[in-house]
Amino acid sequence: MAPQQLATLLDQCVADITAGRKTLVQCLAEHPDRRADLEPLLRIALCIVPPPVTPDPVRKARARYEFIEALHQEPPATRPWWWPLQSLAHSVPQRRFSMPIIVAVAFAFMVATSGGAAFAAQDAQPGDLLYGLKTAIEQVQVVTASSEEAKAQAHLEIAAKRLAEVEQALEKDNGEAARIAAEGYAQAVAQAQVRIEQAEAQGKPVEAVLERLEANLERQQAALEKAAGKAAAAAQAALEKAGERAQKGLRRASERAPETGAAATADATAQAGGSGEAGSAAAQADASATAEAGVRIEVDLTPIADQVAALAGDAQVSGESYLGLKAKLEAAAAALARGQSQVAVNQLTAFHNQLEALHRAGHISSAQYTELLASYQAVMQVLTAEAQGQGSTQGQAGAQEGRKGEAAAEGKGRTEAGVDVTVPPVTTPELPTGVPPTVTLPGAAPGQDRRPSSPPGQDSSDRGHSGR
Amino acid sequence: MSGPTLMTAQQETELVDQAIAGDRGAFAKLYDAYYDRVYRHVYYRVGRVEDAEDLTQQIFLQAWRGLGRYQQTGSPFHAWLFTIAHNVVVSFYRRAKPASYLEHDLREWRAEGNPEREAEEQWERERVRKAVLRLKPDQQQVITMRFLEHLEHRDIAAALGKSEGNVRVIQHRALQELRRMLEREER
Repeated sequence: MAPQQLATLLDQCVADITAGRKTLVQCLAEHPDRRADLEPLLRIALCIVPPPVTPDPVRKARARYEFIEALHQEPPATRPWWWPLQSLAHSVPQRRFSMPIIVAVAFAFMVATSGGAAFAAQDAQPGDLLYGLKTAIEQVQVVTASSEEAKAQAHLEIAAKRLAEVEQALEKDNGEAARIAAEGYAQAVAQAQVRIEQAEAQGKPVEAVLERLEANLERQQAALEKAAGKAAAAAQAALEKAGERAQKGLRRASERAPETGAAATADATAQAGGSGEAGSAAAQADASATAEAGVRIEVDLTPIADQVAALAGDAQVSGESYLGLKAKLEAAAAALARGQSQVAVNQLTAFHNQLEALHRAGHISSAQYTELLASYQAVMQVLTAEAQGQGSTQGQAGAQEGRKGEAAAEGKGRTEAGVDVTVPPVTTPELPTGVPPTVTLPGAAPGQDRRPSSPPGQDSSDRGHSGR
Repeated sequence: MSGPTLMTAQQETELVDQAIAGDRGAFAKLYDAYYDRVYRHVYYRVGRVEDAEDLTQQIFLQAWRGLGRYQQTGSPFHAWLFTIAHNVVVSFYRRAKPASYLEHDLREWRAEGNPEREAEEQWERERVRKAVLRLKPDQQQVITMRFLEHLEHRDIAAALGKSEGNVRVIQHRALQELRRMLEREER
């Protein structure tokens, strides 16, 4: 029997036996003339099964913890700059070229045509040879954008171009081109969404980007109807997926709208402290936000900013470590100045996560860690107490609504601007002897954090590094 | 033949898209979904719990680092993950004391039925496993992706950048090689 036939028969038998449709004996009985070749191979194939093991739950949980920690130390996953040129490789049938060859050829082509190729690529459609070059040039625009909002805008511009390509492809009844463009659209929307969320986390204005997203959605609806009319199922599915994602993003944005509104109306004043220079961590550290209602949330970040600044003078602390903490602190201070308490809490939580990671990695000494942790906890305590105090005041005023005390019970506060402040759990690792006891904030509940506070089964003594 | 799926293809694609866009949370979900499966695969090939744990971590970290290069050209994410698993395991083989991974027997095999049959099946599976580990790397890769992970030929082909026909040929040769090895042992 030809090897190809035997292999096909073997696959059929393995599939039937593993699915329980037939037994080994039945399979062999159905092919008596091939039994001599089939049986030994079939018996071998059926012996290759995964071992019935499950990882030890404690070790698995610890592994997960360590993995998440490691993941946060890694730079984000990004497509290499030459990525879109991959489609050039797939445009050439029956031949795979390595990326350096494609890049070299593309570069040579561009030089030879004095930029004419790039110009010609502007009108390339999915499936065209220059389409990869077109998308590569677009990615350069994303890479060179200076901020998260600008990157989000760049992704949305790409999304709009993909949408135009979908429409053109549907006009020409080219279902495959419509599918490729629709998938490109879905991907661009997803990337824009992530950038928008990151910009929001940094407290940057995203209204213009959201407007653009909404405009895309309207246009997308028209393309979707056209795709349905042309029965282009694959393109339709990709467009629907992108639409769901965009709508989800807009819903989330509208849920956050009161906070943004509050920020816009709040008369926020940042009182310079430390060096007194605007823009520096110390300058923003002593920020206080005053809302229309005239109730103030004052959080003094000067001590913690000074401690972070002191890290810069320590030759054994890497610049990156120091800058990461500084950036988060500045973002928190800026958010407080804008009256965005929840954003500040998020930034401070990120600050705390990084602090823990730096300590575990031995990048900062135990003494530096202890000092910074104590300052962080003090800041969070003030922030929570202020928020809850105001929540309680509002609760009393609105007793008929039955809200009195709810905020405190739930670990939620309400700022002067009516913004809910949810304080994430603060982990309290065991501190060295002589350190004042840490404060566990109300509302701290295990398992709420995005990451486990400590790996199960790991003694806290494992975690303390003298660092040096 | 379809392998055990922990999430739908659409969910997987969405999470991969988000992870490629820089969302670590999405990648953590992929980690949770595939950890056990990758762990079992690696354990089959190295035979020691500690090594399997370490290598599984390495595989996911390498996957994160290489995610930008993951090609969504028909190869599912988990098929791509097993190509990384293969490279990590082969690299481990090179570092390990020559063939030391063949010294470990898996003790977890179990079979339905009477103890005598159970012992016989355990022995046979272990014998085949040791033979699989002695195959050439490309054969070992195709055999484990196909029979251990129940991946379709087209998915294996897409993940390895080979044609389906090529994958079938490698599989057939690998099975013939296993047959020869096992028959030699019996003599």
